Amino acid sequence: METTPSRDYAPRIIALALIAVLLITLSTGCMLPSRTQHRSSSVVEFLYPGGEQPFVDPTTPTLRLPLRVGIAFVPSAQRDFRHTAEALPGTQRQELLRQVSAQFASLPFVASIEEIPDIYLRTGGSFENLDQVRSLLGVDVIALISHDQMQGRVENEWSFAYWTIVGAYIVPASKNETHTLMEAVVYDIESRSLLFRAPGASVIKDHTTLVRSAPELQEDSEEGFAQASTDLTTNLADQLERFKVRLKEEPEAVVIQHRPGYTGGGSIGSGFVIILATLAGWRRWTGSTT
Amino acid sequence: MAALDGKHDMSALRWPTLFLVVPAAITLAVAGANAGLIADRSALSGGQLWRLWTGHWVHFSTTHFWWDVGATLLLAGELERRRPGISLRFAVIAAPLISLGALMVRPEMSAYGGLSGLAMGLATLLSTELVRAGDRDRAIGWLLGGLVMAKLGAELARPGIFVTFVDPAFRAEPAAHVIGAILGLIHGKTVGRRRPMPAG
Repeated sequence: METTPSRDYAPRIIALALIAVLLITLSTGCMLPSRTQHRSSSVVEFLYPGGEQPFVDPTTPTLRLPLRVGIAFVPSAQRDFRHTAEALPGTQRQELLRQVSAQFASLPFVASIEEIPDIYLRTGGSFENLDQVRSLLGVDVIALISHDQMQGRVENEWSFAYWTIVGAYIVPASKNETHTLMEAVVYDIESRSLLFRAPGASVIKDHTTLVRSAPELQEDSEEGFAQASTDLTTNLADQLERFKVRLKEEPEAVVIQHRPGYTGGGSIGSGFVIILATLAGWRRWTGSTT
Repeated sequence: MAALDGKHDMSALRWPTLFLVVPAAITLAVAGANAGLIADRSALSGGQLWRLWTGHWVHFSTTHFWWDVGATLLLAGELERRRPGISLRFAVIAAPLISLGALMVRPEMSAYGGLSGLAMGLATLLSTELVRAGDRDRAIGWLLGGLVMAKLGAELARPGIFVTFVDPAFRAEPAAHVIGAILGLIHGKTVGRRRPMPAG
């Protein structure tokens, strides 16, 4: 009588298959590669390119009011694009420029706002590049906007379902995180002095399927920039108010000069009024009559 | 600076309040009102002559407004108690002269605003009235006059010594104070002098 070898080994084969599945399940997180993307531009790298370049010694800034303000995005220093996606999307750049311009335009001591084209700033251009911009466009003060966005994707233990192919479409086992940091740094070009800075930040986390991961990351990137831009413009408004107060309370920190065309105001001053009131009160107390 | 009969006469504040304080308050409260009322050089050249008067209603901050209004009410109130109508007459005559004078003395200034020029004029006008009144009022009159002179001297030597605006767009301008003070003195010595009552 003949025996069927497969029937005898079937339970062992099944057991080995289950063990293999279990091992695959436990090690799935290590097998599917995580994905990261990084987009950035740095004010420090733009102004102080290379480690050997000495720091510029800023002098006391002299602001000639009304100011002519330039706004520009810091060029990215990254040359390795293997893990670098597109920089800030064009529509968002324009929207951010519009919002920042509106903040400065609301100030009566700002005469004009110039949006500086990207081609005017070169990577690592430093203050010499800013001097050239100042000569070309006549701006006194420049607001440099930089960004840094890191995106990452990690699969959790449910990602074993991706092996079923169907699971890659319906199981949200991929965790996306998008960290965005933006900054507006305002410099007085002539004195190389930092006047003030305003940051903006956002964090976006969500879960998605393997198939939707890339499009979701792209959407998260745009949303991250949008939220960080909003945060930046809010902080910029606050910093501009603080700067106005600082101009008054710390006159030694910034020298103010008025160009022709300023608005003059007569103000009697608190001291004079107090003395007047004191005189009036004293006369009434002494009961003088005419 | 009590009333003539020793009583508080709030009606003395009626005309200064109505023609100086209330319009200034409305101008401060209404957004964009400053632009249409300030003594702007180019607008005046274009024929908007009302700005010679309305520019004095324009203020650049609430503190600017309150200190100017406070001084104006103290000075104009006392003047009105002594000579009803004098502060209004002075304001109508002096306001355009102060605005014109400030813009002429400072050709680089494009616009001017604030009640303080008129207030300084009211101060010197009151000073002449007090000195003329005699007795204890004369001492106060001289004291007030000296205070005005000291303030003007300090401001001319160092503009902005007493006042700086929070907003750096605006610059304290003492020329209007000087012009206002001179006009107040002239008004007190000449136009504002009481005419002697006819005999019989």
